[in-house]
Amino acid sequence: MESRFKFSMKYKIPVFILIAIGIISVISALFLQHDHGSRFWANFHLNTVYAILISLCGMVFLAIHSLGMSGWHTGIQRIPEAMTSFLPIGAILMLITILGMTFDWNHLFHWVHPEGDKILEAKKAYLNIPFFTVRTAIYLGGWIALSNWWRKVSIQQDMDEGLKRFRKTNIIAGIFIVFFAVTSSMSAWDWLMSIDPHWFSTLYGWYVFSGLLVSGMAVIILLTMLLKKTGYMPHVNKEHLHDLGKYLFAFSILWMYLWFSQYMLIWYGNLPEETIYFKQRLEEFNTLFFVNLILNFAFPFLALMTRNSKRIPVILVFTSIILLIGHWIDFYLMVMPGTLGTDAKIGFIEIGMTLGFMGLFLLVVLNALTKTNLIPLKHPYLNESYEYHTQY
Amino acid sequence: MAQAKYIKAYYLDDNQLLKGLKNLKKKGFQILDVLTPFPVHGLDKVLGYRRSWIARVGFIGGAIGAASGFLFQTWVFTKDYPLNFGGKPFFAVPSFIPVTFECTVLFAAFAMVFAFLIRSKLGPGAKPFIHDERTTDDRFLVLVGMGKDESEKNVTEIKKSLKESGAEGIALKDDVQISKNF
Repeated sequence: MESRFKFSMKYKIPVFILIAIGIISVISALFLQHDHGSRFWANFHLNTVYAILISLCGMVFLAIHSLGMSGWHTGIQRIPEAMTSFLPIGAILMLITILGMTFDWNHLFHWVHPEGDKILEAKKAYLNIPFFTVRTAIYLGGWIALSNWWRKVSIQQDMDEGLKRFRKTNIIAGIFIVFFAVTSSMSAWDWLMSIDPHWFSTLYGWYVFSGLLVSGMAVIILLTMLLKKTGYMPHVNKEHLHDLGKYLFAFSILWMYLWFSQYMLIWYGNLPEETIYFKQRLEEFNTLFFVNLILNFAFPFLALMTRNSKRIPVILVFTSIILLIGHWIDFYLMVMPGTLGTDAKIGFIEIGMTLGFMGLFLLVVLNALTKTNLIPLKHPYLNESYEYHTQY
Repeated sequence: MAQAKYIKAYYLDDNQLLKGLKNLKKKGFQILDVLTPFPVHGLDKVLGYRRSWIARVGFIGGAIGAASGFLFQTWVFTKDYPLNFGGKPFFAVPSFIPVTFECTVLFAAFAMVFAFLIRSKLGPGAKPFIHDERTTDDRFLVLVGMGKDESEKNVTEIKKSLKESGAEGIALKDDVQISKNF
């Protein structure tokens, strides 16, 4: 059925309010804090990376389901497709951060000035601004190119029946998943791990990846429910929600597994060069350290365990919101100790800038949703999605 | 659970089976059991079965496993036989987690398997009665009970309904103890 999303005033007003709160927080952070903008930059970077990774998860979702020959997700396919439209904006935001690094507007990454530090000097060949910029450009450039290509083919499929486009999306998915496997880890090292440049962990790339999966799934669920609540997408039923809930549950467990693997191995090896990372977090960020585990694992594990819980929209929505807050805290713990350290806090600026980024994300994604039909009309698996009954 | 008469019949197609069962249920007949070669989607619903409580058994088993695993390690490494492993504290929570996790999974799995075997009476020494060997091949067997009415009239009615819905091999049996449907 033909169905287009209208980005009406009902949506635009809350989105603009969020953006306004963001702008006010940015102004406050830049002009009312007397810290040379450090608090601004730390929050800017934190939210930029969080938003980029959530947006990227849209493409990851599409690629995995395309390669798995999945049919049930076809009915909600347009939502992750719309999420990927934020990537170009994310690239611009990343560029702002890189300019800030180049002109010393920010001091997020200590490796920008390696002089006098033996470890940073040794890592100079990888951790330098030109190479960092080129790598970032490759990651974002590749992700944007592939997701744009996918979206183009997906829209073309609305026009003509047949399997040509479907097969093409499979190929795009294959290329993307290989490219993503490499770039997801490398981008995690560049954008997040290098904030603590004396430290490293080989699990880090996948630990960030699991956080990306949970956050992205949470956003997919929230966007789906938002559209359903306002009358769009009537074909999305409890069967689809159940599967989305299963993903949220499973990926939360995966996140906990990777978090703990990283933590336990470092704890057990007890090497000072590694334990310093957690020592700082346990001492200076103690409460958040445990809140992180409760929100991101203990809560979703118990809340989503039963079969019925994943079929009740209120529970899914509430858990998704808790997880988005929880994973924001997880990224906070990745970014803040190495940038602001003991000056880090959660106040008006943190909340305001996060809401601002949320507003920007919604502005871009909801706008993207208006550009195509909400249902991929001639997708060969669409009927399968309509008739879908999830297995137990 | 005394000797009781029942009627057995089989279908050769799962769609026919579901249609036939819906019919029988509508007429109020008691369906004792259905044996199929593969899980038939929608069968539980048609037969009016409630969700199995085996998941609860799993949860309780897992909770007991987690507690046992964790507490046992605590006792062993703090009271019974404390050893210095690389300077780690005796009550070393991070190192207790892997074993605790495995015990959780083990106890949950064992609890569910034993509960299942007990509930389906397939424990050691069980001698399940084979109604028809081809229920693991291509036959969908239905066993219809007589309820309280073992009259000829009832039998004929049931046989008729079964025949109309496409069942074959319809026969009246009274050769084995049939326990009530759960």
